[in-house]
Amino acid sequence: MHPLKKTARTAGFVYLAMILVAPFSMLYVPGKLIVRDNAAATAENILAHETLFRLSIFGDLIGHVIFICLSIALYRLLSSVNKHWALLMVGFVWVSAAVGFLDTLNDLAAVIFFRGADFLAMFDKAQRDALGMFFIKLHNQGIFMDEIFWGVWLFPFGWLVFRSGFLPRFLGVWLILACFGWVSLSAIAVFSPVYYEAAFRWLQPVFFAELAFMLWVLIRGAKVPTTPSTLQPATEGLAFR
Amino acid sequence: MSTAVMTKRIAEASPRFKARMAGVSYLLGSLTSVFGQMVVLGMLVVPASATATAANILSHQSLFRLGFVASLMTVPFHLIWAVLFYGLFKPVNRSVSLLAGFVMLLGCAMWGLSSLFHLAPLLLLQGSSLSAFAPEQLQALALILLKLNAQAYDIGLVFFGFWCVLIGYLIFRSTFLPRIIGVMEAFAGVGYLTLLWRPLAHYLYPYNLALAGPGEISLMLWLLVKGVNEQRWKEQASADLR
Repeated sequence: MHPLKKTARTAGFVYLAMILVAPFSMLYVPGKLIVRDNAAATAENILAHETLFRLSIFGDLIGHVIFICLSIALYRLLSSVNKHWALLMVGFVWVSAAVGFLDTLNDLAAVIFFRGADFLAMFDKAQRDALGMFFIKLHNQGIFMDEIFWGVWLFPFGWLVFRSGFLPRFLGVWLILACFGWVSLSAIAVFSPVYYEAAFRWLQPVFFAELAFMLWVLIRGAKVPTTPSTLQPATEGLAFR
Repeated sequence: MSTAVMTKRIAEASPRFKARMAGVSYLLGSLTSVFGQMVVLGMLVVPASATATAANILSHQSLFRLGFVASLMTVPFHLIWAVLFYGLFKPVNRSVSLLAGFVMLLGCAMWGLSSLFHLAPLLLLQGSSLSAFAPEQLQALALILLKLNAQAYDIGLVFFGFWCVLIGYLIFRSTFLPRIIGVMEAFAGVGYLTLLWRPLAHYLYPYNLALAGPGEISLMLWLLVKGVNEQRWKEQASADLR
């Protein structure tokens, strides 16, 4: 297989892994365990399904590790287009992963409060539940914050796809639209949270950009240039030059 | 200008253009950071009174949220700036430029984290599920979170200071920017590094932060107005390849 095609497939598989892991921690478990604005019910759910909750924390962490791997896979694919844009893409992903990693700490703090311990004895149960709920909410706020980075990294990414010549331009445009989608979603979460869910639903077609990209590189790979040209993927890993 | 022409222009961007763009992201990164962390919080936070702070935040919620957005948006601006500087100073010393990039990345991660503490007080002060606590308790917790935000921001500034020292060194060794700016930038970095030891930083305040002024402002203005000496940059870049 042509090395360019192979690099594209690899990136596609890493992307697939991330898309498979993310919904478990982001949607399924929170939807099952967290009762909005009801600290006591949430505490009861999480204590009754503590392993599930801890699995979702673990899934969160694994998801960020895969995200870092994805940034390197995409760097290998796209750094031949423009090294600086590719570096910017990687930088955004790494900060997003760092913020996401630390954000999981809030979920762990919530478990500590819900479980209670000797050193927490001066708080009564209602207070412990309230504090635990506060950390669950703080974790959500952290996700809203991280959405800025889920957006901005797509700009250099989309730009590189658009300019690549071996990937269809419409995917690049779509990814850049998704960038603006995530950033505006994050702004809505901060300024007018009541519209968040409606906005999330309306922006779905834009967010499918990443899924489309993943399917494209998995199925079609990259268009191999017919004439020998300079468009070759970096072969020596992270070639910072 | 058609997009084709524009993309071509950006792809073949000259070092001077990149230096100007670095100046622009420098300016935007500094403005958002100062506005978000110093101006807005300076207006709303009363360090000695949790009650007054809470009242201020609740009566100026939009301003408070705007401050949060500014201090979060400073992260992407700083990253753009760091990538442009990496490209600009790579001909001077590749490893030091790369190290500087990584240091800035850590500082940005710290600032991203501090933003979470920045937003948390609103959850406590408006929380509907926190009725188990007395308002004074929640107000005290909110003030503690704001103080944590300030500390996390300062830790980010320590990384930023280290970055300034590295950049100062690179400017000093470069042939395309005035050496004196490199020296002042390194001093600016030393000023930020005093935050490593809080009592020292307190003792030296505001002189340690004033140290940052000449280096940072002169570098930013130089980049915006003059860019870099393109001829010399190309000479140093081709010497690096040999």
